[in-house]
Amino acid sequence: MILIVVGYAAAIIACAGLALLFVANILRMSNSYGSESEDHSCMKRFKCMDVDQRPRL
Amino acid sequence: MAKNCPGCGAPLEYDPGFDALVCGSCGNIVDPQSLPDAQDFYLNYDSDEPVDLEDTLEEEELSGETYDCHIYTCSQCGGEVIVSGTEASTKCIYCGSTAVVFNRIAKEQRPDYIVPFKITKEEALTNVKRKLIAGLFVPKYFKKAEPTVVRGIYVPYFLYQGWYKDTQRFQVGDNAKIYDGECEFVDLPVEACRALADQTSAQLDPFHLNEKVPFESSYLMGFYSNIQDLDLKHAKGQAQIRARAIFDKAMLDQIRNMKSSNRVTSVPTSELAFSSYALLPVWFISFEKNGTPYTFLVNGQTGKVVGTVPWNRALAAIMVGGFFLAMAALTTFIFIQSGLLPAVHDFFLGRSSRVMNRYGDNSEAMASIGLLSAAGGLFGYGVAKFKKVVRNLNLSRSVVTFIFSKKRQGDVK
Repeated sequence: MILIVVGYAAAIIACAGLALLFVANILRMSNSYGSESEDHSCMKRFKCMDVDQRPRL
Repeated sequence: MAKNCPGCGAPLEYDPGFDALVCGSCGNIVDPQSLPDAQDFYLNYDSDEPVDLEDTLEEEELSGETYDCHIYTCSQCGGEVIVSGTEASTKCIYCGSTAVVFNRIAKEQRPDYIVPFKITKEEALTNVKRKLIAGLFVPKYFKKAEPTVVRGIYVPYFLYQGWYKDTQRFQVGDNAKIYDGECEFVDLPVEACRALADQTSAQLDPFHLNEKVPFESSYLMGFYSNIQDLDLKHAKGQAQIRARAIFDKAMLDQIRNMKSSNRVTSVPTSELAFSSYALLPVWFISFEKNGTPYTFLVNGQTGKVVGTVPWNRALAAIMVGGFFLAMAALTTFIFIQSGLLPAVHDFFLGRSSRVMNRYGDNSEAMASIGLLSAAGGLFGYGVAKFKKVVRNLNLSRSVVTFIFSKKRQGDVK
């Protein structure tokens, strides 16, 4: 029984959290323009290697 | 340093739409590269004072040709801009104040390259207005507002090139992995003036530097430019910070199954050298409400808009309340449909013990605590996220002028 009551209360609290999250995201998209660019064309010839996978001499 | 029309002698202005200098009087169109700056620049000569070798090397990289310019200063915030051509500055682009006075004629470092404006004033304004009109929480008065200042400004950047290497160790539980990475940087841009906050500058990216052209002061006609006030020593530090951020992001993208929080050690080495000095185009568009300026920046090459606007608090409150009520109603409906709500009703009427015998045991209490904790966590996350968005809106609204003004007041080193 406690589980049902608490489950209901938890669902209502979660609803409030989701409402805040949802509106926060809309607010950010609506009133804030320009995110940091993912385009880094100044970086050339990037190489990355797992040291354990490197061929050994 | 005004450029005059070879046909009628009237002042020329650079028009991004034509990618040429246009005469406002006779309509003559002139190629910017066809009007050299021979009369505008001079050679600098260093004094005889002994200086550190490293300083000398760095100084030599920047010393060289200069060009004449008119510098205007705002007596309100201390901001300075270079005004080109015959135009005079009447309003501060940083704080909106009209207390702008002509300060001096100076010789500024002649840039090596310039990326000319591709976006016209009208296109920049349209981009900003489109964002404002589409914004759900933008107040109505702002959607109808007209800008008080629209200025095309060339922002000085130092370009760096070189290599960057790093060996990074990641750990997830007992599982440790070491990765070696390296890359080259070509034309890594670092802002050479402190007028813009680093965050704002990064948001304006990307500039396509393969479209840069050799500098001619003809391109400045009709535009302002920021004063280069960051020395190469500081800029090199900024270049390393920027290179590291880009490198780290690329490495995480490559590894995929690791997060930045899993990185335990990093051994970076780099050799980045100043390669050239360039001016990049930015539109400053300011609106004013109750004496507060709201400045948007528009990348003059790509049209990307950067800035924030005030938000409609009443509408935000209504929407939070509305979403909450809608979801709470849906939850209640689900409870009713599944026959659980009568049990809740029984509980609150004090008949819990009877029902408890039928449904419950001690393990339910533990599960209840878990459920409540999860819901509380989600609620806390929602509150924190909302607060963060609002804080960022308030901070970045004035970030264009904030750092600048603080620097002038001596609070930011």
